[in-house]
Amino acid sequence: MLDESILISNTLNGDIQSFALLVQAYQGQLYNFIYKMTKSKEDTEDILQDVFVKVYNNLYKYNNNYRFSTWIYSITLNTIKSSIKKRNTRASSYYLDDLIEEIPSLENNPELLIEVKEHYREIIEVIDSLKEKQKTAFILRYIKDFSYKEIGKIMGISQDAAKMKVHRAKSSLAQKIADMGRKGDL
Amino acid sequence: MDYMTNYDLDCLSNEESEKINKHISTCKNCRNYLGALMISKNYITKEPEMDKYFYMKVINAVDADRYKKSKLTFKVLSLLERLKPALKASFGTLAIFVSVTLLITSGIFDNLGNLIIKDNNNISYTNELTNLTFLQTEGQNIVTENGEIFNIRGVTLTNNFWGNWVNEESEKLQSEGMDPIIRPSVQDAWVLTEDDFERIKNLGCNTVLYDINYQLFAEDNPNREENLKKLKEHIMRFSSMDIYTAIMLMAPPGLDSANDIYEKHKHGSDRIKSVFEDDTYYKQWVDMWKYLSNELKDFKGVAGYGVINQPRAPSEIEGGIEVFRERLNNVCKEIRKIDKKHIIFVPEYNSREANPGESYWNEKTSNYTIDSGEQGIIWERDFVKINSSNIVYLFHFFEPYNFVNNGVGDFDAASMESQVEDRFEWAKNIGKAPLLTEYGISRVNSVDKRVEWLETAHNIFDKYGISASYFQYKNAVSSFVDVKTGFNALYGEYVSWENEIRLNPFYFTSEYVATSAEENHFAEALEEYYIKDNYFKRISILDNQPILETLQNFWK
Repeated sequence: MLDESILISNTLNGDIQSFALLVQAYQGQLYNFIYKMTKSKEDTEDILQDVFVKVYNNLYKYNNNYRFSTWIYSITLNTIKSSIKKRNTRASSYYLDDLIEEIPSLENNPELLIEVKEHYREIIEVIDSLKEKQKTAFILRYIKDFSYKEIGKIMGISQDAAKMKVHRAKSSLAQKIADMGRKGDL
Repeated sequence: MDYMTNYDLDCLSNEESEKINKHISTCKNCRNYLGALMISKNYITKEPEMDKYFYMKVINAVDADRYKKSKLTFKVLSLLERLKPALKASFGTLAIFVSVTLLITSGIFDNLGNLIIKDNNNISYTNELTNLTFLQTEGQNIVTENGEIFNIRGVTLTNNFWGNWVNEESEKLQSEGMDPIIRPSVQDAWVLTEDDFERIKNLGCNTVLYDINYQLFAEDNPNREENLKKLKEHIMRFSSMDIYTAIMLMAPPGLDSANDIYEKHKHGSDRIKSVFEDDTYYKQWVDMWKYLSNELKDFKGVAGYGVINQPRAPSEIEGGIEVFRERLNNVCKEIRKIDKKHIIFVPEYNSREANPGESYWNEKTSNYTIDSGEQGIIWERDFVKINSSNIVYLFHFFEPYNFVNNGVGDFDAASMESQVEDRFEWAKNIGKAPLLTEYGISRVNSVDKRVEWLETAHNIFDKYGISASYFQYKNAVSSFVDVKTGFNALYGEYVSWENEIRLNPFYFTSEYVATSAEENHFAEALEEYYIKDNYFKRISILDNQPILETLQNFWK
């Protein structure tokens, strides 16, 4: 496993290869985070590039008393917000289809597969319909096992507020699931 | 449902866990909720596919020397950042004092000044992530900066430099007896895909000969900057894999090896002129190299520049070998003025125009003919000496011609060696220079014969320490290309199947395509190498696995 603090220190000493390793370590998970937040493949790469350029240019400001991941996610979230304002980001039409395609195939039971995919789609739609801050907190909670304290730091809110956002997201999910159950979808 | 949401399910005690298990066995809503939560987690953590070389775009976009240029400045700024909260809280005056003291003692004004000046200078940095060093010549060897001998063991990427059929324009050219294929002004995406990078990485070669055509980098091409950007990205991709890229000009302005197929039969006065005969083409050629060498001079991953491919020396009336020598020397001199580091690959001429009274083989009449001013083609080869540093001489080695290209006759190892030895001796006698060869053998020969020929050639190259690149990595395959004789690529890539075949079920789109596919042995190649279990593969190694293994053995 790469030691982030060494890579950061090497980068600040002028070693660009260390920064490349840092980018490689984070590009997949940040791409995932941005994609889930923006639902647009087209915008995700642009935003991700902006994030890493900001990280590089401001790396000397990073305080190693905090986790690097908290810092980089906080930059990512701010970049997503400003990008959404600027670009009028729109979800790709194939966003859901792409994600649902990734469900493992149930070759022997195509009917069940259709049902599972439909259920999957509904749950993703519930997550996407959450209030923006609830969705952010909920995704951060699971994407990297951030603590509520860290989620608060990334989102610029208190630890308790972060916990409340996640709780509300879960309640919404539970409510929607119950509604679906009543309608006979489940 | 609140029952469940009130629990933090990620950190349950054993007791809580047991309680929940008991609850969900009787509560459908909570069971559904738990299922939904699991799907949510799965969805959130599942990373979509992305370009794994994305990091290179980032490195390309940042100033790689930002922190190198002013280490001290950023150390101080970093310290100030950390002091910020403390300073903000209660030490307003002290903050200013501390800052000023730090600035003075560390000479930050100078550093900041330098930083601003440097930023304004728009200095170009390559941002390469590589262990490669500049290559140079030392006696008859190519060496790294550490002085280690480096024999190029490469593969050639032709990149479709000859171009494409363009409706109307191509038909018009064809009707005029000209080469109908139009050289690209933008490279097709298929020539180098993500899969190709992966495949080339795994081949084990240390260099790629990267073919280009003049039109891509012509001054009046509006796509020139974009093409350059793509070229740089490709160089960096290869250098990040520790593979060198040699930039080889295959199609110069004017006469090139592809349009020559149509030009060589014409009277000298009707023929498209070469850069050695026409001043405009010559200038365009030199300008293109000035542009490219200026842009690429700092790239460690660039092995060097191949100034021209298989040139033809003009007849005496147009300056003969002398003008050939002079212009080759000049283009090298112009590159060297800009780029002092990179190797320049200079080819032998592979033919020359006959002078009146000389005898040449007339392909039209299949007879020897005495030239009476028509500038017939004499197929002879020779190097001219270049008075510049870091020159590697390049020769093509497809010998014996009839065996390698047409599968006629056989080869003889001693004769092959003597041809290489002659060139080696020539390079030794002009003051010692290294050699690079481009070689290959057509699929018209059996796999066993191809392997046998390759092993013979490899032994000779090893014996004389000659750099070598296998021609070629991949080429387009289609119903209209003869699969047996049309190329000697390791991989065949089928690039236009939408127009030629349909799948599920498979059929040719027209009788015309089907007939052509039969004639060109393409139909059988398609069945055997491109369609397996109803699955279509766009790229195939055909029957070249033993060829690949022979090459990999040589590249070790």
